[in-house]
Amino acid sequence: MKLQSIGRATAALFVAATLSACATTEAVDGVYDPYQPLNRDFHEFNKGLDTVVVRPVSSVYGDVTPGLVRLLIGNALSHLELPRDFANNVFMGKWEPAGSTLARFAVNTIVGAGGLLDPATDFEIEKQDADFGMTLAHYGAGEGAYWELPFLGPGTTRSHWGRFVDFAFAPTTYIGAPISGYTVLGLNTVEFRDTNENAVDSVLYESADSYTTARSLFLQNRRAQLGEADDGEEVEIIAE
Amino acid sequence: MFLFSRRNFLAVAVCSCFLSAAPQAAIALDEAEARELVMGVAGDVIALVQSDVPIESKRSELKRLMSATADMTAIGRFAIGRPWNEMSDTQKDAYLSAFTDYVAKIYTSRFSDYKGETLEFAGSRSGKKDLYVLTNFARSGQQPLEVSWRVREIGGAPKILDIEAEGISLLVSLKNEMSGLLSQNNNSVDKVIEVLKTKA
Repeated sequence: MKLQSIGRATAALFVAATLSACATTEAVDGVYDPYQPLNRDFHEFNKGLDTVVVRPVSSVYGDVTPGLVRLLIGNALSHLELPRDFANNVFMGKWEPAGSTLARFAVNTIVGAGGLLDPATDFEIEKQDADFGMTLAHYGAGEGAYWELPFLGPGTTRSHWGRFVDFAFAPTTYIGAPISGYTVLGLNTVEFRDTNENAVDSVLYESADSYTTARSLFLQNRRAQLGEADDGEEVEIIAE
Repeated sequence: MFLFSRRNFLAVAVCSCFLSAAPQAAIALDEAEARELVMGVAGDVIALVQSDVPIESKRSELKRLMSATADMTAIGRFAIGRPWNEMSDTQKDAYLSAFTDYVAKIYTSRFSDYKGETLEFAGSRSGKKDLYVLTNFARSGQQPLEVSWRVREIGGAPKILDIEAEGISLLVSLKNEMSGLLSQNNNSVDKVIEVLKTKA
C-alpha cells in the first residue's frame, strides 16, 4: 500500500526530527516552522486528499444524513471523547473539571441512551475539553515546531504527540467495528468538514497562500485554548 | 482536518479584563456609539450571509460594509507590515484596493457557515487606545460563539480595526498571510498585489 508507506515514512521523519529539534533556532513572527518546505509538500498532499476524498465524501454525508441522525452522531462523538477529557483533567490535577466529566459521562450514558442524547448539557454539566497535548503543556513542555502531517493536518510537535498518545489510549481504538478508533476519526473529520464547509473551502481554495493561512488559524486557536496566546499586550495598530 | 476547536474564547476574554482597567482616559470613544456600530454591522453581516442573492452581490455588499465601517487602510497597512514605508503612493493604492477585494471575497465564504444565528450584546472592555465590544452569536446545537470587535475613533467616527473569535484575530491572520505571501514572492510588493488580484 502506497498510502501506508507514506504514513510510515512520515512517522519516521517526524520522530527523527522531533528528537533532533532540541536545539531550537529563533522563531519568526511567533511561528517556529523549520520544516516548511516539507510541510508545504504535505499540505499539497492533504489538499489533494481533500479535493479527491474528504470534500466529496463529507458533502454526500451532509446531503444524505438526516439532521436528527447527525445530532445523535455529534452527541456520540462528543461522548466518546469523555475518557480522554477525564484522564487528562486528572493528569493535570484539575479535579473539578474531571469530576464534572465523570458526572457528564454517567448522566449521558444512563439517561442519554448511552451517549446518543445529551441531557447533561441541559443540566449545565458542560464538556471540559482536555487532551494529552494540554497535559504536556501543563507540565512545561514547549510547543515545539509547527508540523502539517499527511492525513492529520496542522499541529505542533507537542500537539501531534498528544494526539498520538490520546489515540493510543482511547477505548475506541481497541473496540472492533463499527466504532473503532479509525471510524471515530473519519466521522469526526466529515462532521467537521461538512459543518464548516464554506470556511474550509475558503481557507484551502480561496486563500492566496493556503498553507500559511491554515498554520496561522491553527496556532492562534490552539494557543488561545492553552492560554499561551501573547495577547496580554494588544497589538499596536497605526491609524490616522 | 481539525483546524479549529470550539470553545476557549471566554478564558482569553476574561484574562484580558484584568489588564484593561487603568488606561481608560486615553479612549475618546463613546461606548454607546461603538456598540451601535458593532451591533449594526454584525446584524448586517448575518442578514447578508443568509440572504438569497448571488455570491458576487454578497461580496460587493460585504466590501461596501467593510469600507464604510472598518479602517481598511490601517488594516491593510498592518497586514503588509514593514514594506509599507517603502511603497509608493501608487503601490499603496493598488495594494489597498486588491487587499480589500480579496478580504471581502474570502470572508464572504468564511462567514457563510453561520446560519440561523441570533446576536446579542455581551459587554465591552477598554484597551490602550481602543474599545472592545463583545457579542454572542447563538448557534443551534452548539455553544454560543463569542466575538470581540476592536473599535477606535478615527477621523471623528468609530471604525472597526479587528474581529476576534475562538482566539483567532482577523488582523493577525491577515498579517500572517501577507508575510507568507511576501516571503513566497521574494518580498516583492508588486508580485503580492498581482497574486491578490488574481485571487480576488
